[in-house]
Amino acid sequence: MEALESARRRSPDETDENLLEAVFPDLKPPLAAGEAAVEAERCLECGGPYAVAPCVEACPAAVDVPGFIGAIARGNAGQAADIIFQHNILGASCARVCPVEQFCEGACVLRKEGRRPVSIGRLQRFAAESELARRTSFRSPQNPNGRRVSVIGGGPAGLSCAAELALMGYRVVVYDKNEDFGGLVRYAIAPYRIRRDPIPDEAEMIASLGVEFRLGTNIDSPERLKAIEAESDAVFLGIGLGRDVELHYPGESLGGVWSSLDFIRLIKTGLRPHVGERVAVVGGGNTAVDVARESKRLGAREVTLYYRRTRVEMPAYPHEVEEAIDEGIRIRYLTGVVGFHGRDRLESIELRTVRLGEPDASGRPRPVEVEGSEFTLPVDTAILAVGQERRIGFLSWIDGVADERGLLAVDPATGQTSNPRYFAGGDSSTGGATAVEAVQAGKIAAAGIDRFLRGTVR
Amino acid sequence: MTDTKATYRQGDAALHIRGEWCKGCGLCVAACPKNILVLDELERVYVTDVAKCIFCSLCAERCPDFCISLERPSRFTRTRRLPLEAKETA
Repeated sequence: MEALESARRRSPDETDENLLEAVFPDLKPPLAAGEAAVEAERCLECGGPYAVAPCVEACPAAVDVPGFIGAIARGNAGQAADIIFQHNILGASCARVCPVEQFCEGACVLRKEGRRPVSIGRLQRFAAESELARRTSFRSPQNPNGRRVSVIGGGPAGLSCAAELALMGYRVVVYDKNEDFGGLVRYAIAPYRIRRDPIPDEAEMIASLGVEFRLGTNIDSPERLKAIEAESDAVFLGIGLGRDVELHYPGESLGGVWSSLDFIRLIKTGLRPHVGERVAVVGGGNTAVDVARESKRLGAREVTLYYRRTRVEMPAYPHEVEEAIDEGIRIRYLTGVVGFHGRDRLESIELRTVRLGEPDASGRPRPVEVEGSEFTLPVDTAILAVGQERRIGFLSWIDGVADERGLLAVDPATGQTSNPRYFAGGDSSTGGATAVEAVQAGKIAAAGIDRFLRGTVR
Repeated sequence: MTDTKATYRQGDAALHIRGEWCKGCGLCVAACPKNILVLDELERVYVTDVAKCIFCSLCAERCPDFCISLERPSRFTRTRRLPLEAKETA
């Protein structure tokens, strides 16, 4: 398996953003001010006094979409940005990474008539980014109340919870093991969706609310966690998921075989993994599709996704699968991996045909191996994207916290876990969802923590 | 039975329909994204549940005979509140 460190040493030292821009141009480039005004005019500004606009209903963070688009239409990007950040403190990042086809744009009323939906994502990006370039103050914090909350994990859930708490006057410290903020948004979402901007500006906005960041700090033992718990009134866990699941295929230690998270992280930090001519990607989720599209952009001639069920069972968003196919990526269904072969490096992948059997624990048909169907294909690079591990080890350090199959069980109305001083949200409780859902979980937990702590004061 | 001019209210917003001009073409019914417009037994349109109306105005735009008009004095969108602060305004 390719190790991140040795790959970093081998990659040419091109760490500048220009490389990323050249190899991974934005899939959805920014709108100019004139274009934004024209697009904003298309919006019907739905929403009655008691009836929510469908786009707001569809947004996990309930951003007032007609509100901010109306402001853009009237030439007031500042007011639009205020509205956006009021509901989603990471509104600029989310504008880049949200699967809008699944949320706001998918619900847009214009689609009922077969018309193109309002480009809500691009409008949100326009307002949020153009204003972030001018200022980092969008909301005003209340006076300090002397209570302290620790947030573990500086990804979207942790950042959102920290910001909302700071706005309510809490003293907040965010711990993250990485050198930079953002969690998966920074290190794992495809570079043609988001590179690094606007995360630094959003982090600056959150820091200006008084949130303290302790980056490069890994909470890697129960003692460290207990020490943090002892000096906090409450703790929010935004710890996400772990490393790629390891399936222990024969030959996976060969150079040229990657775990998807390491592969993407290398790209997101400005380096170029070598992909060769032929790439095999194993998996059927959004990460697998992203990694396939990244490989194509890095120059691979042939990129094939191998998935062990059929298109119907693929967890990846349908619109992304279609985009990948349009970009020339091939998908072979009902194909499983046997192992990897090669002398010093990966030279070929051994695969087998599977058929669908009875449903398994996930409710999907279980792949059943077809005897004697093994075959081998030459490849230069293989990337495994079959899911991330759950943080079972970390959860075992916390007294009384319940988990369902390795995921934190939380009260959906308050974000509280079964240990009252611990709250949580994001991938560590959902098993892997979008950034905007993590932001909403952070908001809910912040309100839950506030209610909990004000309750104990009395 | 549909009045010659019906007014359906949601807060300070209103939807007006002139039943006497309606010829039952059904374009508004097809356009409504919330499916709250229905033709009665005389093939005239009426609103089944005005509380669901999102005032998108597609019905008014589509009607060839200008039967429908909307009144929305204050523009606002009710956003979902966090469960803890839930104080229903409806």
